[in-house]
Amino acid sequence: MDEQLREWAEEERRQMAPPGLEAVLLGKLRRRRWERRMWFAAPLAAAAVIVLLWRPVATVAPAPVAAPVVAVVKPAPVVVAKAVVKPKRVVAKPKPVAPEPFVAVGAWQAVEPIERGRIVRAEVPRATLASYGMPVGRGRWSEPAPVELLLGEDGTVRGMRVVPGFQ
Amino acid sequence: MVNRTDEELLPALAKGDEAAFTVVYRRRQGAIYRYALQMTGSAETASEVTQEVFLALMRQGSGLSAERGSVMSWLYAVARRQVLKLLAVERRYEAMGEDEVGPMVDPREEFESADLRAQLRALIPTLPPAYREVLALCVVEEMTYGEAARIAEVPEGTIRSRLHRAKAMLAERLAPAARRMA
Repeated sequence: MDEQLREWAEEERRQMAPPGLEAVLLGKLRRRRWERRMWFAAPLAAAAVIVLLWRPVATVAPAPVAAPVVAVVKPAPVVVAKAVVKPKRVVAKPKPVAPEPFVAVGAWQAVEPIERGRIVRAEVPRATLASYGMPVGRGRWSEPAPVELLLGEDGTVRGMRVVPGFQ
Repeated sequence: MVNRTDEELLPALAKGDEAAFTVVYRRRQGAIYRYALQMTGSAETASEVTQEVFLALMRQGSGLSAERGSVMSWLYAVARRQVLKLLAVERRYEAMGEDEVGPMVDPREEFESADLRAQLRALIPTLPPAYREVLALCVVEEMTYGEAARIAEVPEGTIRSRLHRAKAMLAERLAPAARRMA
């Protein structure tokens, strides 16, 4: 057993670390040495930044003021200025939106003048507005649009218009 | 510089002298690598351990002194710590106990035509780490029991008994193959 172990040991002694390891370690050693030499670089840079930031603003010496020349001048007549009255702020009232004309509905080719009638508010599908060539607004297509319906004396709908301000 | 001892090179090492580092590295890398190789069974891991050991020498070389022990002992101590850490992490081996036996290898299955030396080479990695360690230090590196004991941090008597048991274990496992070959 001792003989076999000796032979095994002789073979094992030939084992060495990979050749590239020495180069890797020497590279790290050089880098470490360089960092140690440049230890002052970081504090120096920080100090330079601080100096730049804290540099006092250059002060300009004030120009010498000339001695005042005293002259006797006749006082000007005092003029009392008129009080300036600020104009009142006028808030412009919103202009009333003119209602759209009624559009004839149904069998009526035109909305004829009627002696008495009623205007009622209702909601109709936007598709209805579109079918009469009326503006459908910017709202959702599925949402109904508010309109005013003109009812004649007999209760039939004569005309329709969108509610003023409808968009 | 080549003729100077490791301890004499310590001041130059502390200053980061490249030549001194190269001398110490070339002198000691083989032993550290072989120790790590025996303990881990992996060439890649052994390279990593060797690298860590010499990086530690770079970083802590200034703190070493001849009075506190030899550079070689210090390198082994660092290597041993690294190896134990790796073994604990990888769970390759449960413990460094003496009575634990590694997986058995049947020489008849794997080495029908191989000689006893090849079978011995295959059997050694199956020994418990404590036995592999004593083989690496006392047999491969030819250290004295005292030197091995300082590195393994056990009494000399323990080193002696571990070596004896390692040899007995190998002989026992090799016996069937030896009889067959005879």
